[in-house]
Formats: sequence, structure tokens, C-alpha cells
Amino acid sequence: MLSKKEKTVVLDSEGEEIRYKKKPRTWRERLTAGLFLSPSFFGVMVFFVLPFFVVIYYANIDSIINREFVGMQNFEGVLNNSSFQDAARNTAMFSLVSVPLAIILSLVMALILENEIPMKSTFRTFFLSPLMVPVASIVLIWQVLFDYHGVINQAVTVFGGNPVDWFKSDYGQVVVVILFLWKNLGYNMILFMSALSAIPRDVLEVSRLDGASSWKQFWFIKMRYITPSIFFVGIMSLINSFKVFREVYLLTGDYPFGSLYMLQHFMNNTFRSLDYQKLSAAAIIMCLVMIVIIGILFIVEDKIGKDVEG
Amino acid sequence: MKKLFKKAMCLSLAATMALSVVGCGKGKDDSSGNAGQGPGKSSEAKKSNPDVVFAEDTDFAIDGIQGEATSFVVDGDDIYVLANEWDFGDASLGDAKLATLSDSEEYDMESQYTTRVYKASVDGGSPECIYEGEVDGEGYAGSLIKKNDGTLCFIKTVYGEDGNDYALFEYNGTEFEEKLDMAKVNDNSDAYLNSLLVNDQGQIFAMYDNEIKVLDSDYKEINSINVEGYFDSSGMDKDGNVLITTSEYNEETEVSKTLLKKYDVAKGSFGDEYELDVSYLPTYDSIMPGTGEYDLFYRAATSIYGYKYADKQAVKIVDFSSSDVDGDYIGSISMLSEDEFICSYSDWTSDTYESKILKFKKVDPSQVDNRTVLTLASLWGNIQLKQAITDFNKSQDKYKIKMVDYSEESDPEAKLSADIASGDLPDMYDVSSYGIGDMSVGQCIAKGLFEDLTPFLEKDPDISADDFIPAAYNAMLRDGKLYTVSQGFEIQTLCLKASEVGEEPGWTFQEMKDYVESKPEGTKIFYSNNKSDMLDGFMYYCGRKFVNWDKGECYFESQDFKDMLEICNTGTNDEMDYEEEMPSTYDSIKSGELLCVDGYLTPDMIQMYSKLFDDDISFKGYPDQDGEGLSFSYDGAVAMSSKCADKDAAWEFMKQFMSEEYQSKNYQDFYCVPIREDVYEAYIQCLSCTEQGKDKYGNDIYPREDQMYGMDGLEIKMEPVTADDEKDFRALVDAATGYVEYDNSVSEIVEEEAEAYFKGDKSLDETCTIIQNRVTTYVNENK
Repeated sequence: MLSKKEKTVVLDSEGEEIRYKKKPRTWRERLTAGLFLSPSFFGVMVFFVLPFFVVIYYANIDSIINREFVGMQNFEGVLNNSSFQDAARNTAMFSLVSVPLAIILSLVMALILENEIPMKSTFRTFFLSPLMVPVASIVLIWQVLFDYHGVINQAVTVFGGNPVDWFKSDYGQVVVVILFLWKNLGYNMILFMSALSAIPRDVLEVSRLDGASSWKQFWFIKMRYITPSIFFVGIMSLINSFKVFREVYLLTGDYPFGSLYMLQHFMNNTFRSLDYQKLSAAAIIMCLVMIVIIGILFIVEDKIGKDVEG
Repeated sequence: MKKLFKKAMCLSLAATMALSVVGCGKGKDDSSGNAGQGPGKSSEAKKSNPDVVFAEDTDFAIDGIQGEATSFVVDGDDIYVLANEWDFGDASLGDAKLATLSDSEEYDMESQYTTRVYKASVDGGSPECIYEGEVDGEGYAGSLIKKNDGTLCFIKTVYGEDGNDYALFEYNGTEFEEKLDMAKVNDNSDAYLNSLLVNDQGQIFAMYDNEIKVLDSDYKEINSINVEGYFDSSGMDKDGNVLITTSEYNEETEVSKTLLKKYDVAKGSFGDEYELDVSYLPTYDSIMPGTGEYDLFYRAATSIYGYKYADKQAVKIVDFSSSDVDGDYIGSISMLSEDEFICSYSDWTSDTYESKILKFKKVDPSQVDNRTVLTLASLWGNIQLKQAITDFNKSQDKYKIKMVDYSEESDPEAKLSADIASGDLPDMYDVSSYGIGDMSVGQCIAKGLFEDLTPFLEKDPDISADDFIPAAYNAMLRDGKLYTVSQGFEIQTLCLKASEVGEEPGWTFQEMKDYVESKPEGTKIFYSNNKSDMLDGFMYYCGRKFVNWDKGECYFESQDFKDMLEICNTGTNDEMDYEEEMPSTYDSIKSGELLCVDGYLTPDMIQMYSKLFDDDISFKGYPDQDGEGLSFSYDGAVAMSSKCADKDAAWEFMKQFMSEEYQSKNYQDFYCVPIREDVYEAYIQCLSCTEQGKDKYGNDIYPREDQMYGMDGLEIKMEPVTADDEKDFRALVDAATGYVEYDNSVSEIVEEEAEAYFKGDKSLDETCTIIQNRVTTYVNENK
């Protein structure tokens, strides 16, 4: 059996290795390929690569007015800025809580719906419905629910409690985590259901014949097969957790109560106030953190999911 | 290895995509002196477009028109001009001018008018007076039109106590006779009749402010159109269709757009709509019939555009600024072609209050001068600045200042911000509204937008810091540097009865709260007793004192702020209904129901406030932590861009506002106290004179004996300013230290959160904690 690194060699009748020469491309072929590639190439250059360098440039100047090179001063300023620190802390806290919850709860839901339960398809549709609701409507519903005079507070009052200003207290993040889960669980659940249905039935049947319990089946077989999906859902949820700013902004505006002030608030506000140097430095810092997080996830996935992927 | 490379590529592409999102909106890299380079309005203004430059046709003159040419109509080779000559009786021209500028309607009621209609050639020459009415004290004539059968008509407006009455007069060949009492057409006495229009089918349109009555040629009503909301402007297109424009403001996007609507005769309603790329049209008759390839022309604040329905595109035909014409002086316009127009022109700042009919012709592009253009950005337009620019440009052969008027844009603030962000900076900024849009002067300085003017002032041979009233000048400085120039100031203060609060200016919130609490329940602090209105006032004048930008600290949990909210909470949550019959300010103060009146103080206003209070008055000012109270409010402030293309030239323009020559010539037109010590003397001389004479600069000055000042039902006869008044005012000036600076974002947060406290939903402490939390985030973010 050949190992992965060994290459098949073709020998001639005298035992010499036959080396095939690649046929060189004609100028016509090169031109055709170039022409096909050029729209994408220019698009990527103009809309991605060029702005990328512009951001780096902005991050190293004192202001868009003076444009004097200040090196790392903006990064230092942003890292020492207490609003940025608060925003980073809040965003990290939100992601740390909401992403694992989004994975675990959607997986549980997928496992439940995998069984033959009554109204299975109705439930599936029900969980997916938040995806179809426009953000503005979601925000309106949440305002009705969690407003100071909203439904939740009325219920709290009925049971003898004191109303809570949900969006202007430390409970703010809890409300937004619930909103995030409500909106994303359905999509994650569908991804997990698809992954679960792709597990070879024969493997599960053999394990059942061997007397494996449901728990053992889940842990030793299903989890192994759905690991790539868990990572995918994890990365998607992480990205979505950064995008929750949209809902928070519509619910609470530019400057929300401290616990709801996210990194994108910082960036959005600095954009509006023309502090592009701060915005760019913050974007680069956030980008580096994202690269590290996603890099770690890739490495972990590489280690854990290798045997299943083959 | 290959897999690792792939992943590295993935990561770097993700990074590129993430960062590229914030990289859009790139401006051009530039060195110093980059103002006006880029795709924005400043660049557009600097690019000399010789095709939009017009000049007065000096060969054209219609001499001999008596009175003010208020309306005219061009009919082929003839022009008919309607003029009203005002007779002010014994009142002086100075009084008349003042009355015209400030309170014309009241003054008009006491005036006598003579209406005349002249006929002249569109090429000019002596006019023939075809009608001269009798001297009339009841009203004046306007809206001259020519019906399709060639009959001339005008509308006479008669002021009444319950609104205006209108009558239509028709020319019978020898005189104008009343044909129609417009009350029969529209019996709503509050409706204001803007103009008359005649369409191609001979229908007459009476354009009331929110309703249009369509009459046939015999003045019988054939249609009535209720326009939703008010319309800005009306006029005709080339084909004789009647048009109106309405401003549609989107509260969410804060963008306003102007819709042009065409009247459909068959349907009897407005049908086709076209969007004009302008936030508003400045006059009710801004739409004019097109000529040549254009269906219509419309006039914006600083330009005239040609518009084609088919292209849905407007093309700039005339640029007033490039033509050295102050558009505010121009009344009605009639475009004879794309290359010439006739207009009524009133220079209301001149000593003679001159009003005439002028013709402007397009200048041969090869003859247009090529002076260096410097731009001055103004968000909302500024009449005084425009006038100063016109005067400066006429005196210059090397430089030319152009006002870049952002008020023409759908969203002026967003457009200016976008221009700044793209590096397209103007050379100067109009900061008379205490900043640029939402950015206060302080924030603009912090962002490096403004140039430090101190070195220019120090080396200037004509003006120096010693020329100015010390307290007023010092309060303009930020960290010892001068960033804005201003022609004058007012003292922003709060007036109360001295017998109750003492005479010394300045007090703390605690003192004010104690004073308010000592009064019986139901006593109002301000005329509007609404809690939010009071808080808005406090935030406007005292808000900046709760934030220390240098330290990045906020003091919204301080006792002072809590006292302020408690003071506001003594009011009511009911919206102030100004329509409601309620006691006047004077009666409210007299009965003890009202405690404070806020005001902008000049020496002559001391007597006005004294009479309003009918008692010894104290100018306490708004309370603050240090008990200082009085603030300066600066008028007509201008700042230089840190990237100004020619700073010395810009300074030459800017310094004129603080120069003796400019101030001595114009101080009587200021709505403020001149900042120069020497001109201040002339200003006091003018305010205190008891008989007609000359001030120290040789300007005519008139006694103020006959002038009345109306305030909320009280007519106050203005006396010459006494030495005591002047002394008191000067003492207030010397005591004032602060300046008015408003931070919209802070105020919005405070007002939003305070509402819950005012409604009783939250405690004072809870409210202050939330405000402190949110504003701290804002302050730290902008540190």
C-alpha cells in the first residue's frame, strides 16, 4: 500500500523514469484566461484589496484632516480607550455566552426532531420562522415585550415583582442573548439535522446490535460524525454574534446602556464622527482577534475531525 | 503544507474582507492646502465653470419707477412692472428700514401706499406709467399677471385684524377696477394668497398657502385642490402647465426632498411627479417657464437650474456666487432665455433701500475672470455672510470667495460630513450656529478641522487683540487660541425680579431650586412649563458644564444635575399649546405666575426687560456650579479650515468682520453688539442719541423715540439707551465668562432618559445613573 507521501513513478522498458512535460500554454490561451479572470481580479482589487490598505493607512495617521503619520499611536489610543475596552468586553462576553448556547440548544433541538415525534414538521417550520421575519419587525416585537411598560414587566408586576428596565440595566445582555438564540437556533438546527441524517445508518445499526446505549451512540458515533458541522455552526454563530449590533442598535440607538455597547457601536459612532483613524485601528485589532479565534478553531477542527473526514 | 497554505490564504482573505468594509469612502491623500480637492461641493465651486457666470447688463435700465417694484410680467417685447410706493409719514427712513427688517407687518399697517403699473420695453428705457392708484392706507398690490386675453390683473392685499383680505383688480384700458372679492373664492381668513397663475387654457389659479382655487376666465370656481401640507413654490412650465413643489421630510433618515408636481387639467389634480435634487426652494415663485431645450427653470438658494422632464435632470444655468450677485437681494425672476434674465432687485441693506428691475446676461466664457477661488461652507446659508462675500469680491482682483451653500442639499449635514471625510474641505466654515451640524466648535477644534488664528491676528497690521472688548474676546478663546472670528455678541442670560433673587448675576442650581420651591404651587419658571422644554433650555445653555472633555469625566450624578432635573420636574408633562388663549408674558410676570424670561441681551434690551418685569430686574443667567451665570453668544462666526488653500487670503476676508472699517460701516445692521471697543462707542452713541445726527464715523443715526418693540402682546416704547443702562450692560459684559456651546448627542441622551423620571417611572437616582452611564460611553469614545 502506498503511503500518502509516495508518488507513483512510470518506468520505461529499460527501467528509466518517464517524465511527462507539461504542454506550454499559448499566448492566446493566456490572454483568454486573463480576460476571464480580469473582472474578478479588478473587483477584488478595487473593493477588497485597495480598501484593506486604505484601512491600514488610516490606522497610521493622526486624522483624516491632517494625515500625519503617527505609527502605532492610534492602536495605543484605541486599546487604552475605556469605551473600546467596554465594547470589547461586552462583545466577548456576548459571544462566549451566546455561541455555545446556540450550538448546544440547536443540537438538542435537532436530536429531538430526529426522533419520530408528533408534529415534527410543524415544529421544524416553527423554529425556522424567525429567519423569515425582517429585523425591524423582530425589534418591534422585542420592544413590545421588554419595554419598561412591556408585556414581560406587566407579567412581573402581576406576580408582585418590580418592573425592570431590561435594556438599561445589566439584564440587557440577557435580553439580547435570548433574541440572538431565538433568531439563530432554527438555522443551526437545520444544519445539525442535515449532519445527523448523513451519519451512515449501518454504523448506528451495528452499534445497536452490539448493545450500545443511546448515550454511547450519541457520544461515540454521532458526535464524531457531526464535529465538522459543530465547527461550522460555531464559526457561523460567532460571526452572527458580532452582527447582533444591528438588532441592538435598532433597539437602543447609538449610545446604549453600558452592557449593550458593542464593538460595532464603537466603529459605527467613530465613523459618524469622522474619527476614521480610531475606526481603522479598532477594525484592525478586531480583525486580528478574529483571525486568532478562527485560526484556533481550524487547528482544533483539524485535530478532532480528521479521523471522520478521512 | 498545501493545506496549511490554503488555510493561511483563507484567513488572509477573511482579514481583507473584514477590513475592507471600513475602508470604503477613501479620500485622496494630500498634503497641506488640500481644501477643495475631491468630488465634493468645494471642488465643484473651485472648478471655475464659466458657463454659469452672468453679469448685470449695464445698458439695460428702466429709470423712473417710483417705489418698490414688487411684481412684473414679461409679455413679448414689453414688460409690465407693478410698484408700490410707501409713504412712512413722519417716520424717518432709518425707522422705516428697521421696521421693514424686523416687524414689517405691524409697520405696514401704519403706512400709506401708492400703487403704480408701468409699461416698458424688455430692452429698457423710460417706462410709461399706465396706472396710478390713489394713496391707500389699507393695503398694497402684488402678483401682477396677464390673462390669456391680454388683460392685466393684480391682487390687492388688505391687512385685517382677523387675517388678510384679498381682492382681484383687472385693467380696463385706463384703470384697474376691483373685479373679485377673493373672500368669495376662499372664505378662510387664515389662508395666505401667495400668487396668481394662468395656464395655457386660460384657467386662473389662486395659489393659497395650502389650497389652490382654480377659476375660469370669468372668475367662476371650477376646482379646488387641497394640497396635503403646505407647498413651497409654484409656477409654470414652458407648455403652460401649473406646477407646485412640496418638501417631503423623512424623519427616520432626516433627509428632505423636493417633489415637483404637475397639474393635470383633465383629472383636476396634481399628477406627474419629479424629484428635484434640492432640499427646498427659497421663494414661492421659484419655478419659471422654460425656454429652448428646458421645460422649466427653478431657482435654488444660490443658483438657477434648467430642468428637462424627459431626462429628469437639472443643469445649472446661473451661479449667483460666481456672478458676484447676492441671491437674497433678488426677488422675482423671469428667464428670457438660457442666456439672460430679468429680475426685481432690492438692496435692503443700502441706505436708500433701493429697489429696481435689472437684466443679467451670460458672460462670454472667455471673458470670465480667473481669480483664485476660496470656499466658505455654510450649512444653512447666511445672509450677512453672503453680503460680506459679495462686498469682498467686488474689492478684490486676486481672490474670490464663494459660499458653498449646503442648504441646497437634501441632507446638508450628511453631505458636508461626506465632503470632509473624502478630503474635500472648504477653506472656511460658517460656524454661526455654534459648530458644524452636530459637531460643536470644540469638537471641530479637537478633530483638527480649524486653524489657530492667533498667529494671523498677532502679525496683522490692522487689527489686534487690544481692539476688542476684553471679556468678549477672551471668552472666544479656546486654550488661549483664537479659532473663530465674529463681528459681535449678545449676553445670553435669564431675567428675574431683583427684589426676589438679588441683583448680582450668577447663581447655583441649589439656589435656583430653593427659589422655585419657595413659590406657590403652579408658579411657572419659564413661559413653557413643559418639563422637556425646560430641560431642553437648560441643556442648551448649561449642558456643556456637566462634561469635562479634558478629563473625560461626566457629572450627571452630581447634586447640581439632580437639582436641575428636579427644577424641570416642577413643570408639567403636557405639551405647551401656543395656540391656546393664555396670559401674556407681561401679565404672567405681573401676577407672579411666571418667574423667569430667558433672553439675549444688548444694551437697548435692558429697558425692554425692565418694562416687561415692571420692576428692578436681575440678569442672573442660567445657574451653574460656579455661580457664574452669564454667557456670550457670538454672531456671524467664521472659522478657517486647517487645510485652507491660501490662509493669508482667507484671513484677509475673515479679519474684515473684526475690522473697524467693516464694523463701523455695518454695525447698525448687526443683530448684536459689535465686538470692537471703538465701534462699541459708536453703537452706544447710536442707541442713546435723542436727535438725528451722525455717529463718530459719520454714519446717520436716528433717535429711537418712535420705535415700539412688541413682545407677546406688550408694546414697549423704546427710549434712547441711558448712561445707566450702558453702565449696567458693560458690567454684565465684564461679568460674563462662558460661551454657548451645544452638544446634540449629550442632550439627546439626557432628554430621552429624563422622560422616564418626568413620567414617574424611574427615581431621580436611577435616571441619573443611566444618563451618567450612557454619556460616559459617548465622552470616552470621543476622547
